[in-house]
Amino acid sequence: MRSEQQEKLLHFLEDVDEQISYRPVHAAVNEELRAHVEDKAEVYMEYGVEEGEAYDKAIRDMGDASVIGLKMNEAHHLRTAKPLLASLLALICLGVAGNFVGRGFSIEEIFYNGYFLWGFLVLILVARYGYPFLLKYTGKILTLLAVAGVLFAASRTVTRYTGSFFPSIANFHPYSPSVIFGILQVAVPASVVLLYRRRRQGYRSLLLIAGVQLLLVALVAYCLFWGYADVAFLTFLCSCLGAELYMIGKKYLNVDKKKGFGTAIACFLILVLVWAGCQGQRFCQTLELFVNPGAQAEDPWQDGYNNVLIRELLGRAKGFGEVSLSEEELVRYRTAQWYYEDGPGVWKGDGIHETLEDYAKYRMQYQYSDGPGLWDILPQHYHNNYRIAWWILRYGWIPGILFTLFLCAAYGLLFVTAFRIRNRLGRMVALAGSLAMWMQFLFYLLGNFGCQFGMFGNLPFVSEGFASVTGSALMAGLILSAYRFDTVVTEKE
Amino acid sequence: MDKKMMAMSTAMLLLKLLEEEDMYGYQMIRKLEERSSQVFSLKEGTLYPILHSLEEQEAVESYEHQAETGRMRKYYRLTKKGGKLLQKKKEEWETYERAVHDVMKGGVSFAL
Repeated sequence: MRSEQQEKLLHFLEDVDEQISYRPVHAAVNEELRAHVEDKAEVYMEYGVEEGEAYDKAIRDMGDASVIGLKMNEAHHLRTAKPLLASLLALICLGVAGNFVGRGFSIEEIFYNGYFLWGFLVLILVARYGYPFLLKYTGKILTLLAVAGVLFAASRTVTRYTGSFFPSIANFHPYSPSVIFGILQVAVPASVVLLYRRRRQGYRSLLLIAGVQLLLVALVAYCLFWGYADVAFLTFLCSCLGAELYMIGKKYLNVDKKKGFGTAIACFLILVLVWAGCQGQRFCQTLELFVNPGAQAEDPWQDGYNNVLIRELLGRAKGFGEVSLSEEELVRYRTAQWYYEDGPGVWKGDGIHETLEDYAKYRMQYQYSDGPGLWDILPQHYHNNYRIAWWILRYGWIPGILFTLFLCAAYGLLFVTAFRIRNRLGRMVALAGSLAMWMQFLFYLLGNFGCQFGMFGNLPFVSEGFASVTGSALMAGLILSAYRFDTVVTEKE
Repeated sequence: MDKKMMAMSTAMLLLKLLEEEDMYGYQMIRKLEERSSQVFSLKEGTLYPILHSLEEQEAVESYEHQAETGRMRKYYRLTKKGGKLLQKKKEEWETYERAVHDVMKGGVSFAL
């Protein structure tokens, strides 16, 4: 049963709460004000004032409860990172528009683009509820991820022994690179939360994260062909490293700065070496594709050929306006004759067509009635990987560079928003998420200039599929959410 | 003391107190009263919105610490940003103080 004093204090706190619109903040405000009133009442009692009167006086000294509540409400309101939200919407629109330009406008195409709507819904939902949910259920989320990882590995084991992939529902393939990318993207904020929660354990926390990352390496390696996950894995590792270095630099982690940097970087390098070392020759080929793609351009289906082709075409792009190509040149690019007949390439067959003429006939049967255009000669992949290159070839270098700068600014807003977050954990999650998106953008950009590394990366929200757009929406949603709840969620020390 | 002057200086005074050591709200009120010989005696509840607003501006940051009595107290500490803000507020205050002093002292001012 409450005492009379507690009742009075409760009424005072209720009056304060009435003016604060965001209810979850009530408890923290109440706790602080209650402690103050109790401290003051104790002082009065030490001077001989009777308990009831001491509480009356202490509450009176606080001033008008409604005024306190009103002013508290000004300091604790939910915020929306409008510039970031607007830029994310612009990126989604660019993605949809890019699909329509590349694939044509039709009813089927509208349904095909439905995954962007899904991504948008995920983004809004996570932005609205994500961050408090993450804080509240961190342990459960991490456990769920661990269980999912074990199930993933178990199901892969079954498929290895039964000889078929299982379960594969419609076009959703559980072991596809996109799914791996989505999982590793979600693993970035989860790892950062884990590291932050264990920050007082010092070096042990860094080693714990390295251990988790090693388990993920093993999982990805077991469930997928190595090369498919190069970009995803490097994105994951670099994003976590960036967050770790920031935490060490800001002394959030209980470690010596220099030794902490050394430990984090050493763990990163060991993991990269393990990743690269286990792949052996395959990783050398990935590097060769990046540096000297001509060595891997044995037929026009290879990524090396795409790198060579895009470099050749960009070399012909103008400052302004569409690249000038005669009809004959368009045909020779379309049929790869420019490289295997006129250039340094040596045709050895592509596994289907023995001669280059056969391949050329095959390619030309799909040309549009008015002859091949720019769109037909570009290397095409899943979800149009060469959007930046296409922009340069279609409109010229200057508009292409402006388009790239727009993308830099749009993704740059992720960092701006992250650094405007006051709450440490919120800022760490947002920073790691921003790094993850920037790494993807960087790999995509390199690919567009003929320096593809591993499998072609995604351009977040612009050139993505269902799984990776879900991962990006979760990540960007968390950044928006951490910003939204920044003034109302208090991190316990 | 005039309320407007009080409001103008309270944030600066709180930052100054936190420059010396981490404190919780009640402790700050007591320190303010002690040092100002009871001149700065504000309605105690109004301190918290100011502190929370300073926290939002990243001028101070807070953490919880359990007192010997078992009561959980929210301590505030000055951040680097808060140090800069304090310096700025001090300069503004000194300019204001000089201007008031000059006017009260009387005499001729030459404006070109």
